[in-house]
Amino acid sequence: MLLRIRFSFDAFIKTLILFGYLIFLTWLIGTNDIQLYINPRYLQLTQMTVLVLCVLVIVQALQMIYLKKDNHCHHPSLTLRSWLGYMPFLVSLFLAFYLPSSTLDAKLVGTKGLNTGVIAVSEPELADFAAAMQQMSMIEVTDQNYINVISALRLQPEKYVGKQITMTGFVYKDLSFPSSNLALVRYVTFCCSADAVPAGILCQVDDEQKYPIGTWLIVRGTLALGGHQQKTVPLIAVEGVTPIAEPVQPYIYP
Amino acid sequence: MIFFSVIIEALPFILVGVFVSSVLNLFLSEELIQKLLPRNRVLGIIIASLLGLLLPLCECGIVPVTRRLVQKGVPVYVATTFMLATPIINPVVLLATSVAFGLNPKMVWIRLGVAFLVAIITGMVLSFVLKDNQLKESADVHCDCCSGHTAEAGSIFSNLFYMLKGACSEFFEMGKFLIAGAFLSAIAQTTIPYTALSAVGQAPFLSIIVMMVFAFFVSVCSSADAFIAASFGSSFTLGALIAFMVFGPMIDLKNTLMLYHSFRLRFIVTLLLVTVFLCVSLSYLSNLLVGGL
Repeated sequence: MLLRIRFSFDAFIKTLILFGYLIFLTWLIGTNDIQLYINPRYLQLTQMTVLVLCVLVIVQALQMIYLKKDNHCHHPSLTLRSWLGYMPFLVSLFLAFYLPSSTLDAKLVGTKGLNTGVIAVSEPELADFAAAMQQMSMIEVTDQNYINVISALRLQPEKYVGKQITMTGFVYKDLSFPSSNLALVRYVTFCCSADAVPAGILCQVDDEQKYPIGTWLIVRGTLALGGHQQKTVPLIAVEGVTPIAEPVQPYIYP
Repeated sequence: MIFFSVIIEALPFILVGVFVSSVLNLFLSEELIQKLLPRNRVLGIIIASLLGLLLPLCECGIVPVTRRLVQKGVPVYVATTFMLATPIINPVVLLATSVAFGLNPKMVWIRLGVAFLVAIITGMVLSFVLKDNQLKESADVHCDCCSGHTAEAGSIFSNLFYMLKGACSEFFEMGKFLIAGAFLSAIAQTTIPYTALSAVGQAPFLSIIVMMVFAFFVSVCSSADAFIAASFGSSFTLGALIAFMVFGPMIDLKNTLMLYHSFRLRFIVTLLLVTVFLCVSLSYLSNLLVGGL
């Protein structure tokens, strides 16, 4: 029997693609840009994916060179059809390296719809939090308590009127807002940025035109009641505004 | 941006899917299936709908496993029930749903119940309508003729290598549909305006249809869709939220593309018709019974 060493171009492309994804994920994890894509809670899943990809790259690379025993076994040659099959992988890899990591921007708020409900929190936890919050005279909104604060405010906005508040977020406005109002918004992201929900609070600012959509601000003010789309909503009567650069972690991860 | 998010989030799960499929291929023989599978078709369907409790696959990885089961001789209606039920009736998704609807725990049970009914009834209907295994012939193209000799060697190492090889080629088969699906759903996400959806949010029938179409196109993972549904909250009817959370994991854009690769068009159309009909009517029913409309 004749043994001949053959090189499989098909396996070569596959190896390259797997390797490309491996590098892309490793790079995202290394630069910490991964937190712009998925909730850090699932980081371990991605790390495991990297490990699995490592193994697959090796397995696939081993198939690049094979021993051909006889003619009875046909390895598929690269046809137009199989090239088309690789296109999605190649194109997505190209985009992955070509496009810079970016954040969901404020324009998308209009499409996704500004959230106005109570966001996923368990009832007893929220009740405890609201009870504690009613005792505070000064509410400082952080990444950690963001969802609780917003939900508690929306549930019973009247209980917090007159309290001081500071909060970070980006500016969003649309036609439904009363004049001299803007919303200070963060994206709340559960799994990945595909399920990001924009949630925020209305702010009353005198010089609202000074802050275009998408500007990141730290706002200090007093809580009051406002109206939006025939509903009573919490409102911050703004007393001080500090424009800031986009935070390193722009999303809220519950 | 959303495009890559979906891919990165789905990658681990599709890898799990192809690995499970590959392991099944290697260690689950057709004789074993014949032995394990109950003779009774109703019993088979009910068991299939509960398998997700043991094998918590999400919808990103379910199609390769389903296809493998059918290739191994599992009746197509049993495998379909498994495919429809598993992404919803599994511990991870139930936990996520109960967290998302912390203020409204009955949603968990409604979601569970509706999903269970849809999966089982679809399985029953398919068992009467479809006769053979519904696979496209071409789905078997990666034949074992070349690698057969490694499979027979029997040592753990060669089995492992064979399994990894299988997982690899399946990843390439399914991955392109995942990518295409992620791409289309990213477009849908950035272009379908929420305000247009919520305009019909309170219409008991139309809201259901709108949310199902939305679920089909956005293709959010089944462990995250409860959070999306919860965020729609008060602006939609209860039935519409249920339809979103039941239909989305069962049938969405990327899954349909993957299915189309392996199964005949006739099967997919039948499956779509039956599940759409069931989802709409059961969600409408839950609107009437629980939604207070």
